[in-house]
Amino acid sequence: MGKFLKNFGLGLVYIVLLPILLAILVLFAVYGLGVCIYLFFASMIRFFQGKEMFPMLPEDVKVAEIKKAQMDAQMGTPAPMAPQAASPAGPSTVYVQQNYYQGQKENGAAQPSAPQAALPHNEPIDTTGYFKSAPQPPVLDVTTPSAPQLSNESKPQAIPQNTTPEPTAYIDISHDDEAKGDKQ
Amino acid sequence: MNFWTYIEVSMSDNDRKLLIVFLVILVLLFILLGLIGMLIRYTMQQQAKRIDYYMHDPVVYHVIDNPEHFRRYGYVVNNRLLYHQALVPFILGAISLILYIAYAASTNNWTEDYFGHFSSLFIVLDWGNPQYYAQFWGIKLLSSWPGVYSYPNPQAAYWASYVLVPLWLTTIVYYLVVIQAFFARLILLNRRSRTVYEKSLEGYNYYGSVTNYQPGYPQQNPVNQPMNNPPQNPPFPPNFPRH
Repeated sequence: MGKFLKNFGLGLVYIVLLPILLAILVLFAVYGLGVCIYLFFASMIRFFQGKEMFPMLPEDVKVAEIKKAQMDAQMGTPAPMAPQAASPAGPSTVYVQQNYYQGQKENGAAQPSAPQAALPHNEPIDTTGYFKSAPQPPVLDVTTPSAPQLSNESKPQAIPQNTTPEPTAYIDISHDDEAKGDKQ
Repeated sequence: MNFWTYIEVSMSDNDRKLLIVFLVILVLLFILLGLIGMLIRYTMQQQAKRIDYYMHDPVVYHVIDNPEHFRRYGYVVNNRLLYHQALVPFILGAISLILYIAYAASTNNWTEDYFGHFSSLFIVLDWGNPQYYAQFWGIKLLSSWPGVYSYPNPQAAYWASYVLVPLWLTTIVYYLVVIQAFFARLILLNRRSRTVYEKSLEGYNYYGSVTNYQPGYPQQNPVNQPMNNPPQNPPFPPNFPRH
């Protein structure tokens, strides 16, 4: 009932205001016609002057500059590095093999293939589920970092080490059994 | 002196029936107009949202920082939008104008009744016949549904009217819808220019902001959202003697 009365009242108001609303609409129609004619001739003049018909407004230029600066700032920062695993005690190199298949052959068998050359970033997404412009498969190098180089002045004398150990004495144990038997 | 001697209310049965029918039609008409008005209002709200898309970035990036600048930029953007949207009806109007001039010049008849010819496609009711009207308190009212004046009778000679009149009607209606959108955006622009830069002290307390005062920094968010403001007064000390 309330909605019914509301619609009824609104209809009454619109009946009363209809001439005013129509007059406003006609006025804006005439104004819009004038605006369109002005913009048409202004754009034509700019066009024949070799300029852009509707140049960017100064505010739009500023916004574009701010956006570009933000983008540059984001691109300039180094990408976050993945935390490296603690290196083991001895020197070791772990090669992580990526089973990176670019696609499947016609016979359906998945075959490894060489990574493709980098494609533009606006390349459409391959339907196989991989990005064509995907980066190369990463190879993790977790070798122990090399020792820092010392200058010649502070470098101590290298201790000579015998890399091929030679026995300085020999212990003859071939007659050990006989000696034990004598004691008994 | 009797009041009723000045007013003579005498209604026959026929008048009473007419009055009831008239009132029912009036109520239905008002409800229909109310619904149409609500539909137009909803349409204008949807049309006005487009200006928000264009005003968002300059305002969010603080390129536009006062209401005057907001309105000035908004009017320019709104005018450009109007121009781009009005291109379609203008092109239709230009085509119909060229057709009209070519047809009228070729037939050498510049006063042809195009709308009259176009009505030959539809049923025409006999609105002008006085037998369908009745006098009610000195007012001439429609008393019954008028009869059919003519049935659809398309003729090949009226082909120009069948082309031109739909083009004209489409142009006019399309342009009026574009103007309605322009008007709706203009209203929203003026409303936004008042609300976007509004500062309000609603929910702000000066003494509540004195504690932990740091010069140069506002203590409370002056945005007109009092519910988002932190508590205005410092908490009551726990060991403070209470009465």
